[in-house]
Amino acid sequence: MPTNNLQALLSADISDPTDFPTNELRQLDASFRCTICGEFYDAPVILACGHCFCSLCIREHIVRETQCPNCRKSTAEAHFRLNPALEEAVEAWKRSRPIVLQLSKEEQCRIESYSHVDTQKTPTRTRPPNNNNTAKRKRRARSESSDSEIIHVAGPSNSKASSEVVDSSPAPAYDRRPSKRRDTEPSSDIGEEELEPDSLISCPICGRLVEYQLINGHIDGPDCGNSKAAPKSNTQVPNSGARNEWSKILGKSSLKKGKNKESSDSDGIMERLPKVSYAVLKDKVLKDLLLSQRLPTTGDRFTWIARHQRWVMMYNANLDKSEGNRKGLAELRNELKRWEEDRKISKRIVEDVIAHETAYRADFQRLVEEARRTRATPVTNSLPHALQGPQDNCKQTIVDDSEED
Amino acid sequence: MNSRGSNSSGNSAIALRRLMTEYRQLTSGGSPDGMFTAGPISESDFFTWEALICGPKDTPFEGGVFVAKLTFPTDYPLSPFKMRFEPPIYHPNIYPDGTVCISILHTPGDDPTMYEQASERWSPVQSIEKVILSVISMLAEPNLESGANIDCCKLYRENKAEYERRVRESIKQQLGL
Ligand SMILES: [Zn+2]
Ligand SMILES: [Zn+2]
Ligand SMILES: [Zn+2]
Repeated sequence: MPTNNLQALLSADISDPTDFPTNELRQLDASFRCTICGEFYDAPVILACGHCFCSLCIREHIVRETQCPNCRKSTAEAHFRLNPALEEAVEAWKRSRPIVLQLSKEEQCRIESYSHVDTQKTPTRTRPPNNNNTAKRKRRARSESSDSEIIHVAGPSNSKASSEVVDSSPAPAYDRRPSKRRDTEPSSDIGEEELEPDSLISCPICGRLVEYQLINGHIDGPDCGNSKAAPKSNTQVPNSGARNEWSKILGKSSLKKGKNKESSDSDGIMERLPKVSYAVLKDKVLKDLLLSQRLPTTGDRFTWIARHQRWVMMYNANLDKSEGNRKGLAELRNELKRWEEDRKISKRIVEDVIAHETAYRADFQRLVEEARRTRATPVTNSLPHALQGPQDNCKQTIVDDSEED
Repeated sequence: MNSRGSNSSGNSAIALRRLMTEYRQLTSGGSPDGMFTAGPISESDFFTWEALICGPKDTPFEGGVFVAKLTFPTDYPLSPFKMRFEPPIYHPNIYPDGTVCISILHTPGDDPTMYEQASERWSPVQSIEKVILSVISMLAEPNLESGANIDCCKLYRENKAEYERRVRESIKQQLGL
Protein backbone atom coordinates (compact mmCIF):
# COMPACT_ATOMS: atom_id res chain seq x y z
CA MET A 1 0.00 0.00 0.00
CA PRO A 2 1.18 3.47 -0.75
CA THR A 3 -0.16 4.45 2.61
CA ASN A 4 2.84 2.82 4.23
CA ASN A 5 4.97 5.34 2.55
CA LEU A 6 2.63 8.17 3.41
CA GLN A 7 2.35 7.15 7.00
CA ALA A 8 6.09 6.95 7.30
CA LEU A 9 6.30 10.35 5.79
CA LEU A 10 3.67 11.88 7.99
CA SER A 11 5.26 10.55 11.11
CA ALA A 12 8.74 11.51 9.99
CA ASP A 13 9.89 14.93 10.95
CA ILE A 14 9.88 17.11 7.95
CA SER A 15 11.32 20.36 9.01
CA ASP A 16 10.28 23.55 7.34
CA PRO A 17 10.67 27.25 8.04
CA THR A 18 7.32 27.54 9.77
CA ASP A 19 8.73 25.50 12.65
CA PHE A 20 10.09 28.79 13.90
CA PRO A 21 7.91 31.22 15.78
CA THR A 22 9.16 34.42 14.19
CA ASN A 23 9.34 35.70 10.66
CA GLU A 24 12.99 36.57 10.92
CA LEU A 25 13.97 33.05 11.80
CA ARG A 26 11.65 31.63 9.18
CA GLN A 27 13.40 33.72 6.57
CA LEU A 28 16.76 32.63 7.83
CA ASP A 29 15.76 28.99 7.65
CA ALA A 30 14.25 29.45 4.19
CA SER A 31 17.40 31.03 2.88
CA PHE A 32 19.24 27.75 3.38
CA ARG A 33 16.70 25.85 1.32
CA CYS A 34 16.53 24.98 -2.33
CA THR A 35 13.47 26.49 -3.99
CA ILE A 36 12.88 23.37 -6.04
CA CYS A 37 12.69 20.72 -3.34
CA GLY A 38 12.17 22.96 -0.31
CA GLU A 39 14.88 21.16 1.64
CA PHE A 40 18.28 22.30 2.79
CA TYR A 41 20.68 22.71 -0.09
CA ASP A 42 22.36 19.46 -0.94
CA ALA A 43 25.48 20.05 -3.04
CA PRO A 44 24.44 23.58 -3.95
CA VAL A 45 25.46 24.85 -7.36
CA ILE A 46 25.18 28.34 -8.80
CA LEU A 47 24.03 28.99 -12.34
CA ALA A 48 25.38 31.76 -14.53
CA CYS A 49 22.43 33.95 -13.48
CA GLY A 50 23.43 33.60 -9.83
CA HIS A 51 20.53 31.44 -8.71
CA CYS A 52 21.33 28.45 -6.63
CA PHE A 53 19.81 24.96 -6.36
CA CYS A 54 20.71 21.48 -5.19
CA SER A 55 22.85 19.90 -7.84
CA LEU A 56 20.51 16.96 -8.25
CA CYS A 57 17.39 19.16 -8.38
CA ILE A 58 18.72 21.37 -11.14
CA ARG A 59 20.11 18.40 -13.05
CA GLU A 60 16.68 16.83 -13.06
CA HIS A 61 15.12 20.08 -14.14
CA ILE A 62 17.36 20.80 -17.09
CA VAL A 63 16.55 17.44 -18.61
CA ARG A 64 13.18 19.02 -19.31
CA GLU A 65 13.93 22.65 -19.75
CA THR A 66 17.28 24.37 -20.10
CA GLN A 67 16.30 27.45 -18.16
CA CYS A 68 16.85 28.65 -14.64
CA PRO A 69 13.65 27.82 -12.74
CA ASN A 70 13.85 31.18 -11.04
CA CYS A 71 14.62 33.73 -13.73
CA ARG A 72 14.32 31.66 -16.93
CA LYS A 73 17.72 32.61 -18.24
CA SER A 74 19.03 29.78 -20.31
CA THR A 75 21.40 27.46 -18.56
CA ALA A 76 23.39 24.28 -19.05
CA GLU A 77 25.33 21.85 -16.97
CA ALA A 78 28.56 23.44 -18.13
CA HIS A 79 27.58 26.67 -16.34
CA PHE A 80 27.18 25.11 -12.93
CA ARG A 81 29.60 26.40 -10.34
CA LEU A 82 30.16 24.84 -6.97
CA ASN A 83 29.21 26.78 -3.88
CA PRO A 84 31.25 25.39 -0.99
CA ALA A 85 30.71 28.46 1.18
CA LEU A 86 26.98 28.00 1.13
CA GLU A 87 27.40 24.29 1.60
CA GLU A 88 29.36 24.93 4.74
CA ALA A 89 26.84 27.45 6.01
CA VAL A 90 24.04 24.95 5.46
CA GLU A 91 25.86 22.28 7.39
CA ALA A 92 26.48 24.68 10.24
CA TRP A 93 22.85 25.76 10.26
CA LYS A 94 21.63 22.18 10.29
CA ARG A 95 23.71 21.60 13.39
CA SER A 96 22.55 24.76 15.12
CA ARG A 97 18.95 24.49 14.11
CA PRO A 98 17.63 22.26 16.92
CA ILE A 99 19.13 24.54 19.49
CA VAL A 100 18.02 27.76 17.87
CA LEU A 101 14.58 26.26 17.48
CA GLN A 102 14.39 25.34 21.10
CA LEU A 103 15.69 28.67 22.32
CA SER A 104 13.38 30.64 20.08
CA LYS A 105 10.38 28.69 21.25
CA GLU A 106 11.32 29.13 24.86
CA GLU A 107 11.73 32.79 24.22
CA GLN A 108 8.34 32.93 22.59
CA CYS A 109 6.76 31.23 25.58
CA ARG A 110 8.43 33.65 27.89
CA ILE A 111 7.21 36.62 25.93
CA GLU A 112 3.72 35.26 25.86
CA SER A 113 3.63 34.45 29.52
CA TYR A 114 4.99 37.85 30.30
CA SER A 115 2.31 39.49 28.27
CA HIS A 116 -0.26 37.55 30.19
CA VAL A 117 1.10 38.62 33.51
CA ASP A 118 1.22 42.22 32.64
CA THR A 119 -0.89 43.43 29.80
CA GLN A 120 -0.88 47.11 30.45
CA LYS A 121 2.64 48.30 30.46
CA THR A 122 3.88 47.21 27.13
CA PRO A 123 1.42 47.40 24.32
CA THR A 124 3.26 45.49 21.62
CA ARG A 125 4.71 42.23 22.62
CA THR A 126 4.37 40.02 19.66
CA ARG A 127 7.84 40.90 18.56
CA PRO A 128 10.73 38.83 19.74
CA PRO A 129 13.18 40.48 22.02
CA ASN A 130 16.06 42.43 20.72
CA ASN A 131 18.78 39.99 19.94
CA ASN A 132 21.39 41.98 21.73
CA ASN A 133 19.67 41.42 24.98
CA THR A 134 19.73 37.72 24.69
CA ALA A 135 23.13 37.50 23.19
CA LYS A 136 24.82 39.37 25.90
CA ARG A 137 22.99 37.61 28.65
CA LYS A 138 23.87 40.31 31.04
CA ARG A 139 22.22 42.98 32.87
CA ARG A 140 22.42 46.16 30.99
CA ALA A 141 21.85 49.53 32.47
CA ARG A 142 21.10 52.53 30.42
CA SER A 143 21.29 55.08 33.05
CA GLU A 144 21.86 58.34 31.28
CA SER A 145 18.24 59.14 30.84
CA SER A 146 15.53 59.13 33.39
CA ASP A 147 13.82 56.15 31.89
CA SER A 148 16.63 53.92 32.83
CA GLU A 149 16.03 50.28 32.47
CA ILE A 150 17.59 47.15 33.73
CA ILE A 151 16.86 44.10 31.77
CA HIS A 152 17.41 40.83 33.35
CA VAL A 153 17.72 38.10 30.84
CA ALA A 154 17.80 34.61 32.06
CA GLY A 155 20.46 32.31 30.78
CA PRO A 156 19.72 28.94 29.30
CA SER A 157 19.99 27.23 32.61
CA ASN A 158 17.51 27.99 35.31
CA SER A 159 18.62 31.09 37.02
CA LYS A 160 16.92 32.99 39.72
CA ALA A 161 13.72 34.75 39.05
CA SER A 162 13.62 38.35 38.19
CA SER A 163 13.14 40.39 41.22
CA GLU A 164 15.32 43.00 39.71
CA VAL A 165 13.09 44.13 36.95
CA VAL A 166 12.85 47.81 37.24
CA ASP A 167 10.26 50.21 36.02
CA SER A 168 8.31 50.60 32.86
CA SER A 169 10.79 50.22 30.11
CA PRO A 170 9.31 49.75 26.69
CA ALA A 171 11.35 46.67 26.14
CA PRO A 172 9.93 43.64 27.83
CA ALA A 173 11.74 42.23 30.77
CA TYR A 174 11.65 38.54 31.12
CA ASP A 175 11.19 36.46 34.08
CA ARG A 176 11.79 32.85 34.12
CA ARG A 177 8.70 31.66 35.86
CA PRO A 178 7.93 28.13 34.93
CA SER A 179 4.93 28.76 32.80
CA LYS A 180 4.78 25.84 30.47
CA ARG A 181 2.55 27.44 27.95
CA ARG A 182 2.55 25.46 24.79
CA ASP A 183 3.28 27.04 21.56
CA THR A 184 0.24 27.43 19.39
CA GLU A 185 2.25 27.03 16.25
CA PRO A 186 1.38 23.81 14.47
CA SER A 187 4.56 21.89 14.39
CA SER A 188 5.57 18.40 15.00
CA ASP A 189 8.97 18.10 16.36
CA ILE A 190 11.53 19.22 18.78
CA GLY A 191 10.88 22.28 20.74
CA GLU A 192 7.24 21.64 21.27
CA GLU A 193 8.04 20.05 24.55
CA GLU A 194 10.22 21.63 27.09
CA LEU A 195 13.46 19.82 26.62
CA GLU A 196 15.38 18.42 29.47
CA PRO A 197 19.01 17.72 28.70
CA ASP A 198 18.36 14.02 28.53
CA SER A 199 15.09 14.10 26.66
CA LEU A 200 15.10 12.45 23.29
CA ILE A 201 14.79 14.44 20.13
CA SER A 202 14.94 13.11 16.65
CA CYS A 203 18.06 13.92 14.72
CA PRO A 204 17.36 16.47 11.99
CA ILE A 205 19.77 14.68 9.70
CA CYS A 206 19.03 11.01 10.06
CA GLY A 207 15.88 10.96 12.15
CA ARG A 208 17.21 8.77 14.93
CA LEU A 209 16.24 9.49 18.49
CA VAL A 210 19.12 11.04 20.34
CA GLU A 211 19.48 12.65 23.71
CA TYR A 212 19.12 16.35 23.32
CA GLN A 213 22.43 17.17 24.94
CA LEU A 214 24.24 14.68 22.75
CA ILE A 215 22.78 15.78 19.46
CA ASN A 216 25.75 17.77 18.24
CA GLY A 217 28.13 14.95 18.91
CA HIS A 218 25.80 12.54 17.21
CA ILE A 219 25.53 14.65 14.08
CA ASP A 220 29.26 14.91 13.80
CA GLY A 221 29.75 11.27 14.59
CA PRO A 222 29.67 8.15 12.48
CA ASP A 223 26.15 7.00 13.47
CA CYS A 224 24.49 9.85 11.76
CA GLY A 225 23.68 10.41 8.18
CA ASN A 226 23.28 7.50 5.92
CA SER A 227 20.07 6.10 7.26
CA LYS A 228 17.58 8.61 5.92
CA ALA A 229 15.45 5.78 4.69
CA ALA A 230 15.32 4.09 8.03
CA PRO A 231 11.64 4.67 8.65
CA LYS A 232 10.48 3.37 5.32
CA SER A 233 13.05 0.93 4.12
CA ASN A 234 12.84 -2.81 4.28
CA THR A 235 9.16 -3.03 3.43
CA GLN A 236 9.76 -2.60 -0.26
CA VAL A 237 12.21 -4.81 -1.94
CA PRO A 238 12.32 -5.43 -5.64
CA ASN A 239 12.02 -8.94 -6.89
CA SER A 240 14.38 -11.38 -5.30
CA GLY A 241 16.68 -11.56 -8.27
CA ALA A 242 17.20 -7.87 -8.08
CA ARG A 243 17.62 -8.11 -4.36
CA ASN A 244 20.35 -10.66 -4.71
CA GLU A 245 22.11 -8.64 -7.23
CA TRP A 246 21.81 -5.46 -5.20
CA SER A 247 23.00 -7.20 -2.07
CA LYS A 248 25.91 -8.74 -3.91
CA ILE A 249 26.90 -5.29 -4.95
CA LEU A 250 26.13 -3.52 -1.73
CA GLY A 251 27.08 -6.28 0.65
CA LYS A 252 30.78 -6.21 0.11
CA SER A 253 31.38 -2.60 0.60
CA SER A 254 28.60 -1.49 2.89
CA LEU A 255 30.25 -3.21 5.84
CA LYS A 256 33.12 -0.84 5.65
CA LYS A 257 31.46 2.30 4.58
CA GLY A 258 33.30 5.42 3.73
CA LYS A 259 37.00 5.26 4.04
CA ASN A 260 38.00 1.92 2.67
CA LYS A 261 39.11 0.29 -0.51
CA GLU A 262 35.97 1.42 -2.22
CA SER A 263 36.54 5.02 -1.42
CA SER A 264 40.18 4.82 -2.22
CA ASP A 265 39.11 3.64 -5.59
CA SER A 266 36.67 6.53 -5.65
CA ASP A 267 39.30 8.99 -4.60
CA GLY A 268 40.84 8.60 -7.98
CA ILE A 269 37.55 9.14 -9.72
CA MET A 270 37.18 12.86 -9.93
CA GLU A 271 36.01 12.74 -13.50
CA ARG A 272 32.35 13.33 -14.09
CA LEU A 273 30.49 10.67 -15.97
CA PRO A 274 29.56 11.67 -19.50
CA LYS A 275 25.97 11.71 -20.74
CA VAL A 276 25.02 8.76 -22.88
CA SER A 277 22.78 8.62 -25.94
CA TYR A 278 21.00 5.45 -24.99
CA ALA A 279 18.92 5.18 -28.13
CA VAL A 280 21.89 4.16 -30.23
CA LEU A 281 23.28 1.59 -27.79
CA LYS A 282 22.80 -2.13 -28.17
CA ASP A 283 21.57 -4.06 -25.13
CA LYS A 284 24.97 -5.64 -24.68
CA VAL A 285 26.74 -2.30 -24.55
CA LEU A 286 24.15 -0.95 -22.16
CA LYS A 287 24.70 -3.89 -19.84
CA ASP A 288 28.44 -3.40 -19.98
CA LEU A 289 27.92 0.21 -19.11
CA LEU A 290 26.04 -0.79 -15.97
CA LEU A 291 28.58 -3.43 -15.07
CA SER A 292 31.42 -1.00 -15.47
CA GLN A 293 29.80 1.11 -12.77
CA ARG A 294 29.12 -2.02 -10.73
CA LEU A 295 25.38 -1.61 -11.06
CA PRO A 296 22.92 -4.49 -11.37
CA THR A 297 21.56 -5.50 -14.76
CA THR A 298 18.18 -6.73 -13.59
CA GLY A 299 15.04 -5.57 -15.33
CA ASP A 300 14.39 -4.62 -18.90
CA ARG A 301 16.08 -2.19 -21.19
CA PHE A 302 13.90 0.64 -19.97
CA THR A 303 14.98 -0.06 -16.40
CA TRP A 304 18.64 -0.16 -17.39
CA ILE A 305 18.41 3.22 -19.04
CA ALA A 306 16.55 4.79 -16.15
CA ARG A 307 19.05 3.27 -13.73
CA HIS A 308 22.10 4.44 -15.59
CA GLN A 309 20.67 7.89 -16.21
CA ARG A 310 19.91 8.35 -12.56
CA TRP A 311 23.31 7.01 -11.60
CA VAL A 312 25.06 9.56 -13.80
CA MET A 313 23.04 12.36 -12.23
CA MET A 314 23.68 11.23 -8.69
CA TYR A 315 27.30 10.57 -9.35
CA ASN A 316 27.92 13.97 -10.86
CA ALA A 317 25.86 15.76 -8.25
CA ASN A 318 27.92 14.07 -5.57
CA LEU A 319 31.02 15.61 -7.08
CA ASP A 320 29.45 19.03 -6.58
CA LYS A 321 29.90 18.63 -2.84
CA SER A 322 33.10 19.58 -1.15
CA GLU A 323 35.35 16.64 -0.78
CA GLY A 324 34.72 16.08 2.89
CA ASN A 325 30.96 15.89 2.39
CA ARG A 326 30.94 13.49 -0.52
CA LYS A 327 29.25 10.18 -0.20
CA GLY A 328 31.06 6.95 -0.89
CA LEU A 329 30.11 4.97 -3.96
CA ALA A 330 28.55 2.31 -1.76
CA GLU A 331 26.23 4.86 -0.25
CA LEU A 332 25.38 6.25 -3.66
CA ARG A 333 24.49 2.77 -4.85
CA ASN A 334 22.29 2.37 -1.82
CA GLU A 335 20.51 5.58 -2.70
CA LEU A 336 20.04 4.46 -6.25
CA LYS A 337 18.45 1.29 -4.96
CA ARG A 338 16.08 3.25 -2.76
CA TRP A 339 15.23 5.49 -5.64
CA GLU A 340 14.19 2.49 -7.70
CA GLU A 341 12.02 1.26 -4.85
CA ASP A 342 10.39 4.64 -4.50
CA ARG A 343 9.58 4.68 -8.16
CA LYS A 344 7.80 1.40 -7.79
CA ILE A 345 5.74 2.87 -5.01
CA SER A 346 5.04 5.94 -7.09
CA LYS A 347 3.62 3.83 -9.85
CA ARG A 348 1.39 2.07 -7.43
CA ILE A 349 0.16 5.32 -6.00
CA VAL A 350 -0.81 6.45 -9.44
CA GLU A 351 -2.74 3.30 -10.11
CA ASP A 352 -4.42 3.50 -6.77
CA VAL A 353 -5.77 6.95 -7.20
CA ILE A 354 -8.77 5.90 -9.22
CA ALA A 355 -9.73 3.10 -6.86
CA HIS A 356 -9.03 5.34 -4.00
CA GLU A 357 -11.22 8.12 -5.24
CA THR A 358 -14.16 5.80 -5.56
CA ALA A 359 -13.60 4.23 -2.21
CA TYR A 360 -13.24 7.47 -0.40
CA ARG A 361 -15.84 9.43 -2.26
CA ALA A 362 -18.25 9.29 0.65
CA ASP A 363 -15.59 10.23 3.10
CA PHE A 364 -14.58 13.11 0.94
CA GLN A 365 -18.15 14.38 0.69
CA ARG A 366 -18.47 14.28 4.42
CA LEU A 367 -15.28 16.23 4.89
CA VAL A 368 -16.32 18.87 2.45
CA GLU A 369 -19.71 19.17 4.07
CA GLU A 370 -18.11 19.50 7.44
CA ALA A 371 -15.79 22.13 6.13
CA ARG A 372 -18.65 24.12 4.82
CA ARG A 373 -20.50 23.98 8.05
CA THR A 374 -17.60 24.72 10.28
CA ARG A 375 -17.08 28.29 11.15
CA ALA A 376 -13.56 29.52 11.25
CA THR A 377 -11.78 27.52 13.86
CA PRO A 378 -8.13 27.71 14.67
CA VAL A 379 -5.88 25.93 12.28
CA THR A 380 -4.93 22.54 13.51
CA ASN A 381 -2.17 20.43 12.22
CA SER A 382 -4.32 17.41 11.81
CA LEU A 383 -5.00 15.64 8.62
CA PRO A 384 -7.03 15.31 6.55
CA HIS A 385 -7.20 18.87 5.49
CA ALA A 386 -10.28 20.11 7.19
CA LEU A 387 -10.32 23.36 5.30
CA GLN A 388 -10.50 25.32 8.46
CA GLY A 389 -8.16 28.11 7.61
CA PRO A 390 -8.26 31.44 9.31
CA GLN A 391 -10.28 32.95 6.51
CA ASP A 392 -13.33 34.36 8.13
CA ASN A 393 -14.75 36.17 5.18
CA CYS A 394 -14.33 33.08 3.11
CA LYS A 395 -16.06 30.98 5.72
CA GLN A 396 -18.95 33.34 5.78
CA THR A 397 -19.78 32.62 2.21
CA ILE A 398 -19.10 28.97 2.57
CA VAL A 399 -21.70 28.72 5.25
CA ASP A 400 -24.29 30.27 2.98
CA ASP A 401 -23.30 27.84 0.35
CA SER A 402 -25.86 25.19 1.07
CA GLU A 403 -25.24 23.67 -2.24
CA GLU A 404 -26.83 20.86 -4.01
CA ASP A 405 -24.19 18.37 -5.00
CA MET B 1 -1.69 19.03 -20.14
CA ASN B 2 0.70 16.82 -18.36
CA SER B 3 -0.29 13.42 -17.30
CA ARG B 4 0.53 11.94 -13.96
CA GLY B 5 4.05 10.78 -13.53
CA SER B 6 4.91 12.15 -16.92
CA ASN B 7 8.60 11.77 -17.25
CA SER B 8 11.18 9.24 -16.35
CA SER B 9 12.09 10.44 -12.93
CA GLY B 10 8.84 10.29 -10.98
CA ASN B 11 9.90 9.93 -7.40
CA SER B 12 6.99 10.21 -5.06
CA ALA B 13 9.14 10.68 -1.99
CA ILE B 14 10.43 14.02 -3.18
CA ALA B 15 7.00 15.11 -4.33
CA LEU B 16 5.43 14.14 -1.03
CA ARG B 17 7.95 16.02 1.02
CA ARG B 18 7.49 19.12 -1.03
CA LEU B 19 3.69 18.83 -0.80
CA MET B 20 3.91 18.41 2.96
CA THR B 21 6.01 21.53 3.19
CA GLU B 22 3.65 23.56 1.08
CA TYR B 23 0.71 22.33 3.09
CA ARG B 24 2.37 23.30 6.33
CA GLN B 25 3.18 26.72 5.02
CA LEU B 26 -0.33 27.28 3.75
CA THR B 27 -1.88 26.29 7.05
CA SER B 28 0.47 28.33 9.15
CA GLY B 29 0.39 31.46 7.02
CA GLY B 30 -3.09 31.42 5.58
CA SER B 31 -3.73 32.92 2.18
CA PRO B 32 -3.49 36.63 1.49
CA ASP B 33 -6.78 38.27 2.46
CA GLY B 34 -8.19 34.83 3.16
CA MET B 35 -9.09 34.35 -0.46
CA PHE B 36 -8.66 30.61 -0.53
CA THR B 37 -7.85 27.48 1.41
CA ALA B 38 -6.25 24.34 0.05
CA GLY B 39 -5.21 20.97 1.35
CA PRO B 40 -5.27 17.25 0.73
CA ILE B 41 -8.70 15.70 0.60
CA SER B 42 -7.75 12.73 2.69
CA GLU B 43 -4.93 11.50 4.80
CA SER B 44 -4.21 8.56 2.58
CA ASP B 45 -3.67 10.44 -0.64
CA PHE B 46 -1.50 13.48 -0.59
CA PHE B 47 -1.60 13.77 -4.36
CA THR B 48 -5.16 15.02 -4.55
CA TRP B 49 -6.06 18.32 -2.98
CA GLU B 50 -9.11 20.46 -2.83
CA ALA B 51 -9.10 24.23 -2.94
CA LEU B 52 -11.93 26.54 -1.95
CA ILE B 53 -11.64 29.86 -3.69
CA CYS B 54 -13.64 33.01 -3.05
CA GLY B 55 -14.76 34.98 -6.07
CA PRO B 56 -12.69 38.17 -6.29
CA LYS B 57 -14.31 41.45 -5.30
CA ASP B 58 -15.61 43.83 -7.95
CA THR B 59 -16.02 41.05 -10.48
CA PRO B 60 -19.12 39.11 -11.44
CA PHE B 61 -17.67 36.25 -9.41
CA GLU B 62 -17.90 38.18 -6.16
CA GLY B 63 -19.83 36.33 -3.51
CA GLY B 64 -19.25 32.92 -5.01
CA VAL B 65 -17.19 30.13 -3.54
CA PHE B 66 -15.62 27.73 -5.97
CA VAL B 67 -14.33 24.26 -5.36
CA ALA B 68 -11.34 23.07 -7.38
CA LYS B 69 -9.58 19.76 -7.35
CA LEU B 70 -5.80 19.79 -7.66
CA THR B 71 -4.15 16.66 -9.01
CA PHE B 72 -0.40 16.33 -8.52
CA PRO B 73 1.94 14.26 -10.65
CA THR B 74 4.42 12.01 -8.87
CA ASP B 75 7.24 14.12 -10.25
CA TYR B 76 5.89 17.34 -8.77
CA PRO B 77 7.33 20.01 -8.68
CA LEU B 78 9.27 19.22 -11.83
CA SER B 79 5.91 18.90 -13.55
CA PRO B 80 2.93 21.11 -12.71
CA PHE B 81 -0.32 19.92 -11.19
CA LYS B 82 -3.75 20.01 -12.80
CA MET B 83 -6.58 22.13 -11.57
CA ARG B 84 -10.22 21.52 -12.25
CA PHE B 85 -13.27 23.32 -10.91
CA GLU B 86 -16.00 21.00 -9.72
CA PRO B 87 -18.60 21.99 -10.70
CA PRO B 88 -17.17 23.86 -13.72
CA ILE B 89 -17.15 27.65 -13.84
CA TYR B 90 -18.35 29.59 -16.84
CA HIS B 91 -15.23 31.51 -17.85
CA PRO B 92 -13.26 32.05 -21.09
CA ASN B 93 -10.18 30.22 -19.73
CA ILE B 94 -11.92 27.28 -18.15
CA TYR B 95 -12.84 24.28 -20.25
CA PRO B 96 -16.46 23.19 -20.12
CA ASP B 97 -15.35 20.23 -17.99
CA GLY B 98 -13.90 22.62 -15.41
CA THR B 99 -10.19 22.20 -16.22
CA VAL B 100 -8.31 25.46 -15.85
CA CYS B 101 -6.25 26.60 -18.81
CA ILE B 102 -3.64 28.99 -17.52
CA SER B 103 -0.06 29.48 -18.62
CA ILE B 104 1.42 29.05 -15.15
CA LEU B 105 0.25 25.43 -15.25
CA HIS B 106 1.74 24.75 -18.67
CA THR B 107 5.13 23.36 -19.58
CA PRO B 108 6.78 24.25 -22.89
CA GLY B 109 5.39 21.07 -24.35
CA ASP B 110 1.77 21.83 -23.71
CA ASP B 111 1.05 25.36 -24.70
CA PRO B 112 -2.00 24.79 -26.83
CA THR B 113 -2.09 28.27 -28.30
CA MET B 114 1.56 29.25 -28.67
CA TYR B 115 0.59 32.66 -27.35
CA GLU B 116 2.12 32.17 -23.98
CA GLN B 117 5.30 33.78 -22.84
CA ALA B 118 7.93 31.41 -21.52
CA SER B 119 8.15 33.66 -18.49
CA GLU B 120 4.60 32.80 -17.47
CA ARG B 121 4.94 29.06 -17.59
CA TRP B 122 5.31 26.49 -14.89
CA SER B 123 8.65 26.16 -13.19
CA PRO B 124 9.51 24.05 -10.16
CA VAL B 125 9.88 27.16 -8.04
CA GLN B 126 6.22 28.01 -8.55
CA SER B 127 3.89 26.88 -5.84
CA ILE B 128 0.31 25.98 -5.16
CA GLU B 129 -0.22 29.37 -3.59
CA LYS B 130 1.17 31.27 -6.58
CA VAL B 131 -0.93 29.26 -9.00
CA ILE B 132 -4.14 29.80 -7.08
CA LEU B 133 -3.46 33.52 -6.84
CA SER B 134 -2.92 33.58 -10.61
CA VAL B 135 -6.19 31.77 -11.11
CA ILE B 136 -7.96 34.31 -8.93
CA SER B 137 -6.64 37.16 -11.03
CA MET B 138 -7.57 35.21 -14.14
CA LEU B 139 -11.15 35.10 -12.88
CA ALA B 140 -11.06 38.88 -12.72
CA GLU B 141 -9.31 39.33 -16.04
CA PRO B 142 -9.80 36.59 -18.62
CA ASN B 143 -7.09 36.04 -21.19
CA LEU B 144 -8.93 35.99 -24.50
CA GLU B 145 -5.87 34.99 -26.49
CA SER B 146 -5.84 31.52 -25.09
CA GLY B 147 -9.46 30.67 -24.70
CA ALA B 148 -10.63 27.33 -23.43
CA ASN B 149 -14.37 27.87 -23.64
CA ILE B 150 -14.91 29.22 -27.15
CA ASP B 151 -18.55 30.17 -26.71
CA CYS B 152 -17.74 31.98 -23.54
CA CYS B 153 -14.89 33.87 -25.22
CA LYS B 154 -17.22 34.94 -27.96
CA LEU B 155 -19.88 36.12 -25.58
CA TYR B 156 -17.30 37.97 -23.51
CA ARG B 157 -16.02 39.80 -26.57
CA GLU B 158 -19.36 40.59 -28.12
CA ASN B 159 -21.59 41.18 -25.15
CA LYS B 160 -19.75 41.58 -21.91
CA ALA B 161 -22.82 42.66 -20.01
CA GLU B 162 -24.59 39.47 -20.93
CA TYR B 163 -21.51 37.43 -19.96
CA GLU B 164 -21.45 39.04 -16.55
CA ARG B 165 -25.14 38.49 -16.11
CA ARG B 166 -24.69 34.80 -16.88
CA VAL B 167 -21.85 34.47 -14.40
CA ARG B 168 -23.83 36.15 -11.65
CA GLU B 169 -26.81 34.01 -12.46
CA SER B 170 -24.79 30.84 -12.12
CA ILE B 171 -23.43 31.96 -8.78
CA LYS B 172 -26.90 32.67 -7.48
CA GLN B 173 -27.92 29.23 -8.59
CA GLN B 174 -24.94 27.69 -6.91
CA LEU B 175 -25.79 29.45 -3.68
CA GLY B 176 -29.37 28.32 -4.00
CA LEU B 177 -30.81 31.82 -4.05
ZN1 LIG C 1 16.79 20.87 -4.00
ZN1 LIG D 1 18.32 32.36 -12.47
ZN1 LIG E 1 21.79 11.76 12.82
